[in-house]
Amino acid sequence: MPDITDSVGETGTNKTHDVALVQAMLKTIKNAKGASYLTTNYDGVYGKNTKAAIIAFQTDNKTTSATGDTAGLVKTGGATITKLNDLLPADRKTMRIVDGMKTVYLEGDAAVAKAKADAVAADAELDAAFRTKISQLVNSMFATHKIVLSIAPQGGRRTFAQQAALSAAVTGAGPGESNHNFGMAVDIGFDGLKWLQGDGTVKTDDSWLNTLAKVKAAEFSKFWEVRNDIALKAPVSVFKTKKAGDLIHLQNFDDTAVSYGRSLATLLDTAGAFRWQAQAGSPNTYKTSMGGTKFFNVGTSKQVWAQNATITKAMLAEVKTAKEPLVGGKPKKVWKEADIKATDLADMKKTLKGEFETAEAKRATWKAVP
Amino acid sequence: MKYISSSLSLMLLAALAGLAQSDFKRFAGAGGFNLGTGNPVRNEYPILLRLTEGGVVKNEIRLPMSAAAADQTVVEDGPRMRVGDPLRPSDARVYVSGEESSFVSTAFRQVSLPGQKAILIQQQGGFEHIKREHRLYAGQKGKLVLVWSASEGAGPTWSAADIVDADGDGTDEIILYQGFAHPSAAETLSVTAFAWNAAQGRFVKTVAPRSYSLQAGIYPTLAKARQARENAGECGANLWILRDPARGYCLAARTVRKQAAEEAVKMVRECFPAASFR
Repeated sequence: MPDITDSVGETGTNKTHDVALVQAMLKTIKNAKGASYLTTNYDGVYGKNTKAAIIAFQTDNKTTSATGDTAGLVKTGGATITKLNDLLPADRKTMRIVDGMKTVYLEGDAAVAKAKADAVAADAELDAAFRTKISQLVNSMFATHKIVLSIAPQGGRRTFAQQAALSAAVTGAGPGESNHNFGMAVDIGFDGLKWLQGDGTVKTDDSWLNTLAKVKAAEFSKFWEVRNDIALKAPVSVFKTKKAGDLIHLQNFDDTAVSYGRSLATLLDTAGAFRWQAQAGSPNTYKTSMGGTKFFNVGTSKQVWAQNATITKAMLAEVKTAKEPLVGGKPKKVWKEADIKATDLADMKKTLKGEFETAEAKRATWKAVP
Repeated sequence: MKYISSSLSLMLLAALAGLAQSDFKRFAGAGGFNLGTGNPVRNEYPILLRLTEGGVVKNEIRLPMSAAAADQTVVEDGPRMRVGDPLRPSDARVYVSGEESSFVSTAFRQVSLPGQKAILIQQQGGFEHIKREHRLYAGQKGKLVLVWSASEGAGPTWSAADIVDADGDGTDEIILYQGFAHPSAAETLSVTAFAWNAAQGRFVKTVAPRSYSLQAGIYPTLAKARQARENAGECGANLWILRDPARGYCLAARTVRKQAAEEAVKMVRECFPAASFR
């Protein structure tokens, strides 16, 4: 049942969230003529329109008394807030607001919240300790605010192929470079949050609160702060990415000193047949021995995954020469560019992608390295 | 005594000059606007915008994203840090530092407004999720005044701000492109125009100029459109999967610059031979 934390109205305390909640109720409930008591949009600011709406409601419903609510004042537990609750339509009985905010929302469904929490807890693709924390976050968010959180589309463990398909406009992380690829991160947003627009109509938002962002940017940010108040503190204690990250993104570790490029190179180096190194940059590029002794730049992880590694016939000639047995201290055969066929290049590009596939299969051994 | 006093004054001035230098390491600027990095705060170097008149610093503000290093590297505008029109590189230089999560790029372009100087700054940062900030400042009576801005929300967002003089009156308009690469539904791409409103002293939404729609292909399902774009690699990187209620899903892009559309369609035809624009 919607309730206020302090008095609203003439001589009231008029905390923003209490004013917004009372206003939203007065916007929703209609008088005998079928009109809302509050004639303006609800905004959390107490003024003459709110005063007039409270008095009109009290007059119609006879909720003032010498010892209770006086004209224009809504007290906690008083006759006016009780009557406001009584007259709310059935589908608005769960109006709610977070302290300090001015956007009223409808409580989520407890069964849905439990199902979402259970689904995260059972998601074997996520790191075991991490999924326990995220499940705890979903449960705590519902227990505290009656808001359902869930993992956004493609916001859980992402395969290397799914990572490769993401646009470079939205992520700088190629296949194997995202902590999503290792079950160490989730994009966890709002599961169909129903919030009341200024005119009292209900808007069902998406995981990212895109609709709210367009009309109430400050309130949009506050909803994420509300989530983070639980997510980033004990006992949940997960992390945001270092900087300029997405509001929706949470991960299992502090990445202040982590290099995702070097972390991937370390995994490739230990999991596959070739030696690998990362060259930090934007984007990261990678070097590999291709089974020889010298390291060659083979491009970005996205290029390697797409079998478009930046290898040349000259590189392959060097690699093949390095693999030749030594006769009198010299390679038995010195390979030249002309000796390398187009199919050799294609085969090596396929092999390099295979190294990534092997690394993905052994992703449980991935470690964040500086 | 007078000598000592003068020496002290000189020392104080020298110290202040030194402080000013260490406070601001300039890396770019034009028309009285200067960009530089300030002293580090918790291992980050704030990127500062200064307004100077006659060599005197009149005002300074801190931009939303800070750099990982005091020194910035200059790179040409390119697909990863696209400034301006989404379909072709601008002539803006981009100043970058950091890597992965600490990577930040900053670019600026001057904007023509009646009787005043203005600068549009674009910053881009992030690794796992890339975000952009657009800030347009005017120099007004020795102050930097924010006259327009745009940020990105949550999720797979993208944005670009272009400067055009659509009606040829010598005053620039801002064209804001905003995309949302929904992971499991059709993507969205919008074009919004903002024009200078002298009475309000800021840019306000206006009727967008004609935009050109580049269409690379129509697909019956979202999955097929995604696959086609993925198969195209870099060639299809600028294309969005937009819902076409009558025909399905369209691989498309938009620009208000006809020449950019013409150039882009030629490139896109390498992977989508039937690509066209209208």
